[in-house]
Amino acid sequence: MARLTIEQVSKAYHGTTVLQPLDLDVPDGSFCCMLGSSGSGKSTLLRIVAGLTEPDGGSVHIGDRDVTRLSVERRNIGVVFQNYALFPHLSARSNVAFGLRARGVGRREARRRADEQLELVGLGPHADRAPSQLSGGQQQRVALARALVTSPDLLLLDEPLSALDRKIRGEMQAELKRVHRETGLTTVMVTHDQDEALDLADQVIMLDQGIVAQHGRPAELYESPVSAFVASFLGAFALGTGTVSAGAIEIGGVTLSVPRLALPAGSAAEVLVRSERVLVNGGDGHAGIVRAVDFHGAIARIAIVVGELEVPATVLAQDAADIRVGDAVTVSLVPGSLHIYPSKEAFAGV
Amino acid sequence: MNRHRLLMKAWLGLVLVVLALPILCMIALSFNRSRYGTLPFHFSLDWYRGLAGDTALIDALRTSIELAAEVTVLSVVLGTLLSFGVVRARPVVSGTLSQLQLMVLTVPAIILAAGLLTVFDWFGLGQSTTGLVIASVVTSMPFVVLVVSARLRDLDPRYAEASRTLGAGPMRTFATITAPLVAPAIVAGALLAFVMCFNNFAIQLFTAPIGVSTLPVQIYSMVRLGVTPDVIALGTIIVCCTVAIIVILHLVTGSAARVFIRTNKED
Repeated sequence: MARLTIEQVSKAYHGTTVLQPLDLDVPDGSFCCMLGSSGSGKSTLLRIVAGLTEPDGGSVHIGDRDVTRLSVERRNIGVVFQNYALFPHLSARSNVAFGLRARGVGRREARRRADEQLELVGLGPHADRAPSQLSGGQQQRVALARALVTSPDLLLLDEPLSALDRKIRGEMQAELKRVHRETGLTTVMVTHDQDEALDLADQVIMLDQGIVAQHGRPAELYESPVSAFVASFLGAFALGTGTVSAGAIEIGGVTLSVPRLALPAGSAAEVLVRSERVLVNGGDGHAGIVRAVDFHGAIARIAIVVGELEVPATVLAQDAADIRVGDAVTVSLVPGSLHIYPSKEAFAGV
Repeated sequence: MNRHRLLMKAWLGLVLVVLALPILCMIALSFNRSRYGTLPFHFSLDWYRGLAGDTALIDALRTSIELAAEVTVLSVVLGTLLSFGVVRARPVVSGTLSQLQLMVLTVPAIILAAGLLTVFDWFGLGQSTTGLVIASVVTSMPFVVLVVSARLRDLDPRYAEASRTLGAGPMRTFATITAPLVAPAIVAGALLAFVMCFNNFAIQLFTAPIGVSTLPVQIYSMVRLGVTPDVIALGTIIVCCTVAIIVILHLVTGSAARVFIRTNKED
């Protein structure tokens, strides 16, 4: 167990910058998610921490050790790869025992500890199977057991859930939480799925084209994203560009009241809305017409035309049961439902 | 529909007969008493008995097997190392290398042999055992590189990376992960190299030292006076050995053909 510190780490491939100089501090026992789309540099950062990619500059510390120039095998880390990279010619047990054998543990002892670890992840009966004889979820458990059995200082997860179907993904998410709770291992996970990141992590690093767009607790990122990019990545819908007036913003022929807006009157601003905070028929609000209702099991998504805007609302399915396309409804935007940022075009114009 | 199927079967039968007929005839003739391959067929093992006493042919066989064994070992070691280099090299280097190898495979062996002999003469090797081995490695190694580098290219680099993250150094990673995963290709490459070297008549005719005859060269010199049944008997033995190798491979790997094709579909 150890704290992970990254200082001014940067990386470019053939002149293309993948990571701008970047600082990061993951406290001991923390679960940190690096969130971003493909090409954001999140996987490169993970590979640098693992030692699989050499940074162009900067340093990486695990605990008190400067590991920047240390080869992979000496870093004492556990890595779960995206497609698990289980050794196809070895049984599940030998896969798990591999790291112990590499550390000089005797054959019998390694076997015993591997079996123990497999038992922990519920795969005791399958220890003799080859990876190809295991399901995706089981492979993922073997990969996790293999990464944990050597008692690493740091656990690195590279999109570990992306290859699984939805139901198993939920189970594995719970499994990762359990493992983190029980081992207290400092964990860094790379993902492009904001729900996964918000659910698992106690801190999230949002990366955008090699730059940290925002870094904080999941709730911070969710409640107060610092940019339109972060807001939309975390599920907010862009309404468009509006004009700021005193305590309100005009957009698409609708005046949305926004108390405590810190932008100068008359300036242009990008407006995003959180659909789950939009109330439908919940009191005072703007009049609108329902354009579409889509049910997604427990919840329903409703598109409502207000003025020239199309406002999305996410409500519990039972609350949408009486709402039909073409109905006249009221739409209330409760505090916290809007994210407003100075428009980039407006800056360009100044 | 049925007629089509019948036609297909007839065609398949014809192809098999054309492919197998020479070999089957050879096997049959080796057990025939007649020296000139005439009928009626009288079973006899005379030619096999005679073969045991034919020292020239036996010596040539031994020479060929020794040569092929040496060349196979050299080709596998050098070819496997080269494959690792080729896979990691910049495209300019690996591209040039694979073009060169393709040239070795496509240029008629006799022209290659003449060229090699010229070069050996410059270096004072001439027709020597060293020259013969070098020339054979040059023509056999490309098969090893072809098969092994294809397999290496297919191999997910994450296996080796995973091994490193688990604490295994580069040597241990190679020995316990990379080598076993590439082994089927190395075995296939070795077999190909052996067969190619064993067969390479033109190279052996040109570069072998005076007085040393490999089996193809020896057979050639005998056949100039007509195909004799003792050559046919030897041919039959070689065919049987080849079949035995394929059967053993099949038993060991589950499918002999699979050894020669990419087998990297683990996941």
